[in-house]
Amino acid sequence: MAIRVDDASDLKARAGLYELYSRLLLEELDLETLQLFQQERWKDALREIEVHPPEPNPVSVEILAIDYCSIFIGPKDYCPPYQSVWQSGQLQGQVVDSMRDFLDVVQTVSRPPIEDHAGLQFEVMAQVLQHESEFGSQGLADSFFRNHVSWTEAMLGRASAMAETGFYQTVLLSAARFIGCEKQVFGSS
Amino acid sequence: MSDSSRRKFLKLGALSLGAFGLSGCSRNTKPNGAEKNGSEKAAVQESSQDGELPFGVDIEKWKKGRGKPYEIGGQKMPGVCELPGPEAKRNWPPRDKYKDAKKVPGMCQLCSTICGIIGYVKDGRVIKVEGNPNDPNSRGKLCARGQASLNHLYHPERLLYPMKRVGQRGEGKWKRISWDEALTEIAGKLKAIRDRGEHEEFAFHQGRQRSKDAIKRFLDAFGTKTQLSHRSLCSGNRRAANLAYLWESDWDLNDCENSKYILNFGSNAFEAHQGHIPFANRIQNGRFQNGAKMVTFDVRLSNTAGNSDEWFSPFPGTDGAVALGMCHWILDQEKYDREFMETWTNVSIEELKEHLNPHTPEWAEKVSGIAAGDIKRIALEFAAAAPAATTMCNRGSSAHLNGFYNDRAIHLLNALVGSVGKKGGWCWSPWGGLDPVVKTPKMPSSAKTWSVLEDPPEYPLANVWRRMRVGEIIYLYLLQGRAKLQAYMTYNLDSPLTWPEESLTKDVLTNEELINFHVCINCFYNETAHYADIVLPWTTFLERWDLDARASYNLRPYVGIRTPMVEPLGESRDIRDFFPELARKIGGGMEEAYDYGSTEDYMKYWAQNVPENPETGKSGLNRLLDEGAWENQDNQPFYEPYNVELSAEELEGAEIDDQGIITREGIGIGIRLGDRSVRGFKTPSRKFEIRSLFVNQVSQNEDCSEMIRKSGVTKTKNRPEQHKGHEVDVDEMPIWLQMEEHENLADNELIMTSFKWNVHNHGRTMNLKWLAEIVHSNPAWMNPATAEKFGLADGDWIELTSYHSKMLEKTSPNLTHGVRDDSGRVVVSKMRVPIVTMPGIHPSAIAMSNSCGHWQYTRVAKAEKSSSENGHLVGSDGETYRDADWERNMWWEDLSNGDPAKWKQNTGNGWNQNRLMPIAPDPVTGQQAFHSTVVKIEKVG
Repeated sequence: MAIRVDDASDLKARAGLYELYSRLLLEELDLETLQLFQQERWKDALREIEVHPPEPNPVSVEILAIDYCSIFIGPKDYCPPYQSVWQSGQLQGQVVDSMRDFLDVVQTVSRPPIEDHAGLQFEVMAQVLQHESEFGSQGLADSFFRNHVSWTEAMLGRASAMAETGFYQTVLLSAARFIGCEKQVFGSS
Repeated sequence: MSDSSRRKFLKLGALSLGAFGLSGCSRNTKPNGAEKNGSEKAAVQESSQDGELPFGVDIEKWKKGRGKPYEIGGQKMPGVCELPGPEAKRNWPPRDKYKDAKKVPGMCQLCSTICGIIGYVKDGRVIKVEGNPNDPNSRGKLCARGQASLNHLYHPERLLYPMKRVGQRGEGKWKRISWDEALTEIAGKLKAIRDRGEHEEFAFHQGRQRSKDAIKRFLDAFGTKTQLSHRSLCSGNRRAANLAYLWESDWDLNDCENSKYILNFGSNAFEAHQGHIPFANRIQNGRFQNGAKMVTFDVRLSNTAGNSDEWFSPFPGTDGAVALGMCHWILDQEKYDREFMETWTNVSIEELKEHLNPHTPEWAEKVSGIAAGDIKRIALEFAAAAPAATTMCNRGSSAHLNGFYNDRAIHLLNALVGSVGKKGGWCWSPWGGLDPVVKTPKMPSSAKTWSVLEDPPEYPLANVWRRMRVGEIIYLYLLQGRAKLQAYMTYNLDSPLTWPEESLTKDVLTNEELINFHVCINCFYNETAHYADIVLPWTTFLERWDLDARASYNLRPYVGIRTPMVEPLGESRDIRDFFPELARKIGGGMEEAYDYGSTEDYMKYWAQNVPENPETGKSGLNRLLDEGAWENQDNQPFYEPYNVELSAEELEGAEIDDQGIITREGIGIGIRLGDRSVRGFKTPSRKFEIRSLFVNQVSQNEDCSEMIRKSGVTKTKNRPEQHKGHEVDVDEMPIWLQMEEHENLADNELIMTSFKWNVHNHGRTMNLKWLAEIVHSNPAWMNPATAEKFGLADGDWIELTSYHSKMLEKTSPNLTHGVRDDSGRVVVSKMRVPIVTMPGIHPSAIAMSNSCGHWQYTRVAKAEKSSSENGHLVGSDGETYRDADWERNMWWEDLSNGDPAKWKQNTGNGWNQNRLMPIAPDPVTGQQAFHSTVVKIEKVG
């Protein structure tokens, strides 16, 4: 497939995907988001990538919250969504400094307490791609992806394998596939 | 990814753009436009004039700073705890690692010693921890545990968010909740208990704690006195033995640095003592700069024993007999300090000779196995070195069913040779920790409740001088219905691992009828957290405030500071931070205890009396933040306090009774000696009480008010009404008694002892990679002669069967539960372990270190690499992962799957020795007898 990274609509769509995955990684799903996913256009789009969100009700929210916790929060044998852990075995590695430098450049809405959280990195990526869709590439997306996003593919694959709910299994796997594709885009596969 | 797949993804992407308000189209983060709440959510940054930055990207800034961000694959990462593992390239540390790093003082808390530390902070990260030379106690020295603070702070499995249990208790299913949700739920439970007037049914159970004021404030404001601790698992007997002689202090401080002779009974000060580094430093200075000789009696060749001038291995629990044998010989040879004995003790030489008459060195040899000739020789050497001679002891002698008497006997040696309170001798301090010059902001009135859990009536000396409590009985008493808990808050506690009878502890913690509601405050998900209903992520000691100090080996008080070196990670919070909020949610006046402003305001007030340093002009909190600790050099070391003359002001209005005891308004203040009025000891007789009428009478529930008044020690109390009917015979003199179960051991029985390594504390360090790599397993130590008798060799496996105490079965029948086997003993538990043979253990003993055998507490503590299906290890990306040491080099993972035949030496995470230990409190003080348990040995396979 020919990848046109300068295509504005393509860039915006990819930004949207980062935004979606950012939301899914940063926090548990709430009822409103599950209701959103039940809208026909959302349902169709998710179904096409083989993601099937559960019925929007408090029970689903609770089940997903438990699964989210066991995948990303712990307390044990979980999949820490922090780049430092994956790259240096501990929290707060020097990648956090780098993230702070990027966060000085890119305004984000979210600010989780640990700054090398994959969800925040996806949000930055969404912002950068949107920016480049308007103003053209300045190398920021490429740099940020290489430094702070490419690592997530393995983590997402692992998280998907750990998930107990079908929703997290499929949506995290889809995220891993997306990042794999992004690696091709940025030539870092 | 195919074209069609990509199109599907892009379709979803187009739909998602702006839907969650994260990419610049909207600042709302929920699809329906609802605002996020809580600090963990959106922190919207400054906006441009029209309210929003264009897509949130400042591209000009990016262009200017381009290339600045850290590049993967570049230099090593300062602040990341790397060790040069086999796959790591050696370029460490980087040359500029400490350039521009800020030095922040603090105090370690990875064991009980509380050494002063300095954190090197760079870019908001602690990159190194070392000892603070300004700390007068630790003098800049720091052990391996302290060095591993970085593992503790940046551990990848730290608790970062509050969680609530969602499955069965102990099932391990959780969901994240906000702090507000957590505190609201906890407050609801506590308020209901308070409203019902059942305050004592809220228990706070602490492990190692250094925020005494913060805990007391909260509990007193709530109105419960059910504050449980682990003191009886640690040092109850030693403390009680000290108090029986001194009353004013439960902690002997052996002035080893100025000593000429150090007589050590079972203390492993070089590895694990409460005074560990400060004490070890002074012992070695005493030996190598002052020429002191050090002799150690210990069942096991500890690193302290191995570094002594002489080591003797007595039969377990006979330290007191050896000490009495020495006392006998010193008296027999007239080598005692007559002046001290006659002036400052409350027995005559003749009385003491008569009392010790049966305790000859030959008798001591018979019970201990130590040659009478050695006992005599060492006794005379000790006496000859006096007054610069001191005993030291700790759990080796005290953690026995006869431990109170062991330590009484050992301390007596110092009185005989007149080294009590002397330079180089056996000293103490009246202040337990902080220099009394610092005063906490006003505290609420003390709670008045009573609970059998906090003050079990069976143990007469547990709580009469100090609240030593009897921690090991808590879960049993709950099981027996002697108390109930509606709310249980645990704090830095790992009772399933560190308490005796592991299975009972787990059963009670699981039972929601016995413990209705359990909140666990901890940095890590440990075995206690596993049985909680709500887990609150606690800050590490590098992220929070305290004023702190330990008993000072300089014999003058000091004060040190623990301060946040970096912001707390994740959403972790300290009790100083969230207790005020919780109190406000509970209400009913509790909030009034927290009207002091911020935590920093509180610390400023607390430290305000720290005087100005003329060189820097800084005082109070600023001085502590600058220097880390302050010791008033004008104070003289606390030598011979009993000889200090009372001032005219003190004597104004005083009366003297026919025994020379000086009182003011009925309260003892001193003693008349000839024409001198001196302070004396703070005992009823104002003397060093070799004969303690108090321990005998208070144990019989007699009224001791008159004695207490004469001592002038206001903290000492009679036993409360609830103790009536629980009279215990406690000898008023130092004696030694043989434990029944140790007489006539069967051929297949040994006595189990435990120990700590120099890189671990009991239950809180095995998760730290640097330490676990050094020690992670604990095969049982067995003497080669004993092994030969059992037909065992190194690496063979045995099955251990442990028994309840025969002695306690008679004195405390409520403690014994379980099935009696063919030996007639009641079984506690069985466990299979491998052995390691070494001569450094008594032939009748078997030793296992504690700290090992975690089944929670991170993968490091469990020695699990946890590989995944796709070949990646959790916490590692196969492409970019570069710290080979952290996960992949966890070479000690046990792959035997529990099969002894496949087990390889030095692999695995060891075994929890406490699975075997019975609940066995010394009947006098309640100290857990960790070293008295009889075990049966059977070869496996």
